[in-house]
Amino acid sequence: MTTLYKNKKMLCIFLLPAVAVVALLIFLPVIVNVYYSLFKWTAYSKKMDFVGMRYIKKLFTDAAVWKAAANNAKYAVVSIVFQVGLGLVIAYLLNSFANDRFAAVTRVVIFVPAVVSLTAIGLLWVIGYSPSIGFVNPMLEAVGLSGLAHDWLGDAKTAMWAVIMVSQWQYMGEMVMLYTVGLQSVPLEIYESAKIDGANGLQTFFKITIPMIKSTILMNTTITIIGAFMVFDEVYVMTSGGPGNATEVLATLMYKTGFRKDNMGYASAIGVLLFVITFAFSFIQMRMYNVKETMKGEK
Amino acid sequence: MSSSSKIKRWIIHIFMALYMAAILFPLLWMAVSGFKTDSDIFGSPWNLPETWQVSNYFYVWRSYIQNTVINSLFFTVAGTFFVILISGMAAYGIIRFEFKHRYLAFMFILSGMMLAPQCSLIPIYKLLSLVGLYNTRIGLLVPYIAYRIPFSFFLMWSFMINLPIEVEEAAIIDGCSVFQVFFNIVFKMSKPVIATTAVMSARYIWNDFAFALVFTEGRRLQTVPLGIFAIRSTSQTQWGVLIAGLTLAALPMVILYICLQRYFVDGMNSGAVKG
Amino acid sequence: MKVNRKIAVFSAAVMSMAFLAGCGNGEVKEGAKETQGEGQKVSQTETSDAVTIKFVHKFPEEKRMQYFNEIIAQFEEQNPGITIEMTAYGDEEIKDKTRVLLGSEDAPDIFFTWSGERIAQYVDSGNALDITKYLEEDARWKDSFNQSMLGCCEKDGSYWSIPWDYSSKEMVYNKKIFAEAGITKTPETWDEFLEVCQKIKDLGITPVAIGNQYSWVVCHYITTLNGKLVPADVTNKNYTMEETDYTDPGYAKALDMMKDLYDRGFVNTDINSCTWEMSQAMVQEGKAAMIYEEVQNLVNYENALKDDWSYFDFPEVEGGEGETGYITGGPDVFMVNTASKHPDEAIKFLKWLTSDSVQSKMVYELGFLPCISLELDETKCMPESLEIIEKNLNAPGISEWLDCAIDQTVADTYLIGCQTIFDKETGQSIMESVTATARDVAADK
Repeated sequence: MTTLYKNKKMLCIFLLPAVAVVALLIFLPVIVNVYYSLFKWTAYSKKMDFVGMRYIKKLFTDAAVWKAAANNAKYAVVSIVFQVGLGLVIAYLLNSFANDRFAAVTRVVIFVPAVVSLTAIGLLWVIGYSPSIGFVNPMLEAVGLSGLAHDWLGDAKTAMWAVIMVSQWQYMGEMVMLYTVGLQSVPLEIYESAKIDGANGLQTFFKITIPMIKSTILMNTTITIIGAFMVFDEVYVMTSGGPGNATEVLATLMYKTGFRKDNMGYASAIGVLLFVITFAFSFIQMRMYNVKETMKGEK
Repeated sequence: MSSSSKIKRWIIHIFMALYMAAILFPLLWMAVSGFKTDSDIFGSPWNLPETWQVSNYFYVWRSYIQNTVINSLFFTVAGTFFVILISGMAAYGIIRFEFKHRYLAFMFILSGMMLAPQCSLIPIYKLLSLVGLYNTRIGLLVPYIAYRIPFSFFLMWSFMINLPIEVEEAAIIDGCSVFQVFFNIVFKMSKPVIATTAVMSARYIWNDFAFALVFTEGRRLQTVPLGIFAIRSTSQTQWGVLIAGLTLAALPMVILYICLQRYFVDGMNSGAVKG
Repeated sequence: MKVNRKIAVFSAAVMSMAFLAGCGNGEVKEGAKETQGEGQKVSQTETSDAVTIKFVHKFPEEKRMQYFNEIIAQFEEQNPGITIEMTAYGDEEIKDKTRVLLGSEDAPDIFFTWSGERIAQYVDSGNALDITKYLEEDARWKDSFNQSMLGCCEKDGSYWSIPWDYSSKEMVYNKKIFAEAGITKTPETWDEFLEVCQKIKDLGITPVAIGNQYSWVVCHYITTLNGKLVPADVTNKNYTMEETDYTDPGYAKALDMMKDLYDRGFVNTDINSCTWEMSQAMVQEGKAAMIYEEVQNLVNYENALKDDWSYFDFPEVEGGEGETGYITGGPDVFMVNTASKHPDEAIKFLKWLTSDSVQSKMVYELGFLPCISLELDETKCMPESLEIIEKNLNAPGISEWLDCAIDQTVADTYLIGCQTIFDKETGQSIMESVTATARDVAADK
């Protein structure tokens, strides 16, 4: 490798902007949050009372926090099934069996919701789910499932699932796109030799495709889980946590605690919890992903 | 092609067509409802508009979007530009340069992805006030850039790592500086991933609500989502106008995406295959 | 080591570039004024010792902004040297924005809030200026107010805010649907109300539209019902946290009555997912017969239903232990920030906002209810508004919005109950959790 790539000054110029911005605006606030969680304060108050670990301890006994975390977990599980699982199947089917042009059109169309704002999508589905003016129930009736017609967002039992499904609707296309990139980087020769060996579609999928794009799958899983724990806008727009607290997630709980109940200290503590959860998941997956190897090899 | 695989293809096509319909129907419903009067929306949500209220679209443009669209364009264009530049440079730096803490630097930038921006609203706000950047263009732009960098960095890294180093080496032997290599060769070969990153970042910045609400005030820096949210009011919501506004606000990103989508897969693929 | 220094120098360079860019980026305040098309005037007023008053309110709707722009232009004309920098946020956004702004250096001089605990929170935090002396100095100003509204601004013997307009609730109904159902007389008691609902339901029309996605909507019903079912001294003690235990059976009964209304099928089935805006549209489009609506919004029913709408007072509850004839509502108030450098000018502007001409313009153009006693021109406002203004002047008291009146954490539990009551919960179980929260909050203080 050329000596140009050993020049430390150049390295700084290339790397520093990213590192500095991430450090200052992403990591510093997290540290500040930990500090803030040690105080009783409001956004507008002039004084902060030190309370030590009180709010951090309270996290473990607060049923509302656990309820919210459980909702996030539901979000994560469903998103893994749909976005990581079904997304892969769809990407694979399109890539391997569909007509190329048809596949391209499909991929474009299903990605479109991902570029529309969460607020717009949220409001759209609030109307869509509405039993009086929505399109979901009439649709069910049209295909003979009128028994399923329901006040989806208003019933505490279905509201969380209804909100989760909107996210699947919105983001599955994005996952298909990410998978397609991975799938198309698998050299065609491998598939051909498998075909000669007499492998059928299912076998190729499990024996070749999945191992070949393992890193993409892991990455997509990480993105999906983190996304599921950070979810805010969809819930806020569609139900704002209700009915009751049936759809409360950690981010909406944090927001309400800080900005509605004026307990910024506890809100910061919830923020810290959110960080710990996403960090733990990412850490586990990064270990599985083995970035170090990838960085050395693959060239 | 055998007949069984033809059938298989047909089944898959039909399934995908249904999936596309499920995606397109609500979006089209939104676009069409934007042409309706309020009584039409509530009276016959399923039918086409009785009279096409094109005025909804004009009205929402004039009253809510016209004044805010320049701000939104500025943040989206400038933000996306810097995101691509900064993440691209970092990705390239990590791939090509040899230094001790490569892995650490890589993980550091990447782990920025794990942090929810909502957690950080107040700390960032305090930080911006502290350095006098609250309610300034740059004060909103910088957080936009920061939160898009980790994922963009990862996207660009995973593409650039497959670029053949031979081209660059040849250029360096010809006397090119690192900057020349980066901008003239690496960026040119990275067009597909740049297009992808552009769409992925632009849609976040264009659609953002929370940052714009907390880090700015007044009309001077108001962005489109803030403008549109003002339509939703507890006293009297004009539904047709609101839906028209949501549709109009969604259009630029949909168009941008459709223009750039051809790069999404094919381009990335060609980069990957070379490696 | 060498590298580290270079990093430091570089990052310093990046930062200073950022600052330079920040300065270059139009940070010169653009005339400090938000109204469009008045650029020339601003440059004049900014020359000498100009004072800028930052003013934040929650009326961003087009028509209301136009009203504010006009009265501010007049004010600035009469008071050269004072510029009003106005910003408006929607109902939900302003709750966040006010909190954030007050914690900052750029805090507004005059800011909006609701009454009750929403006033107390800013008094306790030291953000609200004690304006008692300004009121004492100007007895005419003080006396001009509707005293029960001004009373809402009092805490611990001092005044902390100025009421601007107030809202009260009435039952709006569709006359045509009432006639079709053979209803000749509007209901005066809860039992009559239930009969009316039954008749409308028999027609196949939703009797009452309730859009409880944001649960303050049912909370407003509870505000009224608590006032009618629970003695005023009991609610007072509970709402001010003097007493943490909500033991009066009236509280649970209020919730159970709403549940009963829903269980009988008198409310749209999607009560908890329907948004407030949708419920308004249901009545305006004739899909539902009644809605418990705020008076300043009546004009929308006039526009939508023309002659086919009217209103009646919330029915009284037979055997209720509480008060009758109370207003349900509360004033919208403006506070002066303790951090304001120009409190005198801010008060001057508040006096303008509560002057006869500005208040009557508000009644005529916006249909709001005024907080001062006014001679109104009957031809310029809806007869219904006049009637209500008249009636409210003689009301014995006011039940302030429950979600504003009580501690925010307790309110949150209460608000959750206002949704779960339509599911499995009972009034009893909800009031138990409200009590538990109130005890927690009291212990925390």
